[in-house]
Amino acid sequence: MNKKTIPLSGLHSGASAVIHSVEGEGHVFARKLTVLGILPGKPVRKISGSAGGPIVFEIGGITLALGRNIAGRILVIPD
Amino acid sequence: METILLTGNPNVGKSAVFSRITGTDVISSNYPGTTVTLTKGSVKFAGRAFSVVDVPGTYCLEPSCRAEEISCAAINDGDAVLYVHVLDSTALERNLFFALELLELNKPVIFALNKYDIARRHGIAINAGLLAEKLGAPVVPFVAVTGEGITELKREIEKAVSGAQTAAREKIPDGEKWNRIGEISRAAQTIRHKHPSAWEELEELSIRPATGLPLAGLVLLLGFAGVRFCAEGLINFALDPLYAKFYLPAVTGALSFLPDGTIRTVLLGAQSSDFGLLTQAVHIALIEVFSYVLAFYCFLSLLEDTGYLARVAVLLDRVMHKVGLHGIGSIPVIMGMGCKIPGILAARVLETRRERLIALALTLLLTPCISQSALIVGALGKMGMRYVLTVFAVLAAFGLVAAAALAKMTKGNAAEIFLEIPPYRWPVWIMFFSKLRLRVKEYVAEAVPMIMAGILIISVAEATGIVAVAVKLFAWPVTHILGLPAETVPVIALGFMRKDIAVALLLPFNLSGGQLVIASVFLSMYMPCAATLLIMLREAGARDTALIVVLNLTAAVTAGALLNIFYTLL
Repeated sequence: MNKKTIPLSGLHSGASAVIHSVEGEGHVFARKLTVLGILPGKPVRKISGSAGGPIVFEIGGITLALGRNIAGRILVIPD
Repeated sequence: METILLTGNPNVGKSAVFSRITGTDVISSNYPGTTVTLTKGSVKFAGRAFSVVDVPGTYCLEPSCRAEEISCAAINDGDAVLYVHVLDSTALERNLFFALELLELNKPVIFALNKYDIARRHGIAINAGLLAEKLGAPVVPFVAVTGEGITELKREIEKAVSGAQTAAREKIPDGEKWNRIGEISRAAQTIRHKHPSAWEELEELSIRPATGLPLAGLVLLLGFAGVRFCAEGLINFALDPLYAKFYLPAVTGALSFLPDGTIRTVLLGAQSSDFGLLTQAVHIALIEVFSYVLAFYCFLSLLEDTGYLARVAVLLDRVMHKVGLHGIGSIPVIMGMGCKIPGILAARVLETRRERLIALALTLLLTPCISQSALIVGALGKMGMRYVLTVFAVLAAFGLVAAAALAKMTKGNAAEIFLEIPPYRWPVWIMFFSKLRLRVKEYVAEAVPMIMAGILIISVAEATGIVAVAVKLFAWPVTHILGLPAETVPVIALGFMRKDIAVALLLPFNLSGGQLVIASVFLSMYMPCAATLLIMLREAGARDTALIVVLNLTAAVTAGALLNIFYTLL
């Protein structure tokens, strides 16, 4: 893992980042992310996600809410 | 009949486009997953009859969750002669992945560029001609809520169904689709960036737990107070006076020829404590309950159409995890505050059997349906609001405990939420009222005959002596465990048909406040009503339905017994 990459769940609310990679297996999961455009190189902005709740972020003009574990598998490089 | 499929991502306005094309009322809301079944309508194009099918929104041709399975199966079926694919102009890019996949099926496709007006207001300009060229299929700018573009869309459909097959299109590998999407949107779309609007600021404030949770509490509190205020206002200042001044004299006058006897009693009710089919039953069904149904669905529709309900689901995610569900599990529960049937149907979108089971239990137990709530408020409100609050608090507590117990008993982890949150939007009033009309119509069509039948059954049961037998059979548990008079047994049994009518029929017994609390709680929990039970059998199967019924009955007896002890000690 690159030194600068952190999971999306660890990003501060309000901070922007660029997706580095997506960890984990599962064709369905990987495809769902691809379909939504959650791909390496795409910019994201975290809106909220603290204290055990879901992670809410903006990507490509849409707002998504993801469970913490899923969001933890998306690695980003903070801006 | 030939089939035209209406497809698209979730929440792009397919249902609104459907109702424009077919002229049918449908339920559409501002959150993904409103349509959980295939809705069909028929329409004539070029002199031929077509079946138009509204396919629940999905992101691509391969299902990634249960909710998408029906959709993907319908789309891949290969029967359709034409696909009308709805695109959301305000988020074109995220819609194009599915659009590209659909084109690869090599079937005729027409794109309806919906929400064209909103996109324009947001500074997004889409060149439909260029987009059509890039996609290789007709593109029609469309505003489903006003119907702008419908003539053009129908003309394109006529053209497509009268020939002009599409040429084979190239397949683009998944990995390259996004490059292609970037290319298409750069060519056909220009975006003028604007400062975040007040709406967008509110969007973020309302989803961050620190500000969002207090806001949600306030919204719900004001909402339910508003429901009560509007419903009581409607009853006291409009419907009740109409009933007393016009309806009652008219109906008693018209039937004055009836001699005293059973028929007269059944129809008109002999004394004030009797329930005449044409008097008190009408009053309950069309005045007391109707007003609450109307007010509640206004509020629920507002929550749905503005996009707030999706945010509530996200905010409640953490709490729902405590009972083995994720945030989406709150949607059936909230729907169930109105009527349990749509609540149970809404539980379909949950992934596993375990989650659906917990959601069903929670939906049934956490609150009464609005019909019963209306009469609980009506009956107990007069004796003091603390009784009303006790009923709702006890139900909520038992609902949560039962769901948590069920989560403990069944193995498994809650799936995680994966939800696209729609932007805030003003409700589109024509759609709002169309949905409201549909829901109120459903209530009138289903509940009113059931209320009438319930009253008829209890009159017959009383006349034939069935009541006396039932009273004997259940007198002990009802008097000793629940502390209610044995004569209430048939009324409680009738709760299986309609819970609202059962609450109303308790009033002539002159129960104490505590007894009414016990009876209301017990009626709400002990069994789902007959209509709900039938739907649940279909949705969850006999085994899970039996499990839920046992859970309900256990919770009801426990709650009733504890309340009885509490009020006796008091």
